[in-house]
Amino acid sequence: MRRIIKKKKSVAFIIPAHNEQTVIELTINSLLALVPPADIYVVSDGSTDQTVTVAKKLTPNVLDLNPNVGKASALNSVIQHFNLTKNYSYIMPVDADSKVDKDFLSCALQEFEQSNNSEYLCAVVGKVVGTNVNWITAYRVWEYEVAQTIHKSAQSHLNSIIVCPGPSTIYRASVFKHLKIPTGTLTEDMDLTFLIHRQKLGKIKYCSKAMVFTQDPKSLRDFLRQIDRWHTGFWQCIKRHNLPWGGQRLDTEVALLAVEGLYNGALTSAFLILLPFVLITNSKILLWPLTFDLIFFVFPTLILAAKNRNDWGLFRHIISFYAVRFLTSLVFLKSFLKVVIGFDLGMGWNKVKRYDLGLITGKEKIWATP
Amino acid sequence: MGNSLAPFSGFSLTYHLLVLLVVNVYKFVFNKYKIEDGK
Repeated sequence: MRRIIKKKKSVAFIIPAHNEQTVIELTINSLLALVPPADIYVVSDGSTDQTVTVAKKLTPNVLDLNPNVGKASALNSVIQHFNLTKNYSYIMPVDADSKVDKDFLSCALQEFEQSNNSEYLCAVVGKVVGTNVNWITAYRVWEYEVAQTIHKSAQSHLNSIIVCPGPSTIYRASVFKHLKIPTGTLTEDMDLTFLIHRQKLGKIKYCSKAMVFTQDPKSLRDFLRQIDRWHTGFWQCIKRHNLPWGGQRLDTEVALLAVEGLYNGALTSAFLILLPFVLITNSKILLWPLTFDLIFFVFPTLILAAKNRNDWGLFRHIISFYAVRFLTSLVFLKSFLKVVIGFDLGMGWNKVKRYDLGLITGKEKIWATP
Repeated sequence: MGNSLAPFSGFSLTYHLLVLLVVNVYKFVFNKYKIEDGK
């Protein structure tokens, strides 16, 4: 009897979408440059706009969930519905507002191939490249460059990457045979990353050449809501996975970042309370820490970001960056009080407003390779 | 990673820079040794 062995396809892209008619076409089109339409899967999570209609024009694989079930459950549903773990070697979730670079797959798959001879790689994390359209997105560009070029690169060497970002991570399909994308926290990508570490499914590696372009909040209000969600999710994941008591490198890394964040928040609060008194009595005393901060932190990291992105205009926003830095510290402290202590100052999370990236592309260099 | 630019920070940045320094120095020495060994 002749056995028919069905060969696995390489990569499945899955796009969870909730009312994303403005941006989903651009996202799918960016993927069509990498794979055929049959390898792109869209799951509409209770969309009430034209998301499903737009998606169906571009790919045959559209799952329309009604009512909505949440991003993590929607991703689990599409993986299960189309039996992706059986049919594919790799699975990559992509946010509906993201654009995957044309070289992403070649860079990421090369990492997987090279790893077979040494350590088992279960996921490759690409570089998230922000969209610089105003002062608040410029701050995010700076933050992404520092967070990825320094922090994530080092974490990659230590095998202690704390988050595989939602739009820029490609997983071995076998990961989703072992576990489902967890629900119940505000950061399902960090939750999944912690689970991978805890279940020792393999190494996670950062690859800076594999890029994904994404859009970030354009208003301070949206920005603060987003980081409140991220920080709240961070503390939720710490509680859920019992960090830092797991005895893994991840625990050390998270403990360092958590303690540093709390220390920042406490010191920032004290600084802001004392600032009026200092300004009245001896304002010159502020020059020393400011000079130290500018010389040893702000200028070197901004030069790094500006050089990587070829965008020296970042320096124009240096004063407003200071305000955002203080605010992010306070939000981190606030999310700790909410999740760990149970003291909620109130600040719901709403979806960040989308904008048509296709229209912006003509005016800005946002999709340009940095 | 939404807190990497907070004021008064520097522990994690210094730690990660040191890790990168050690890794890159190791790679540099290893590659040099490999090339010399090849000769």
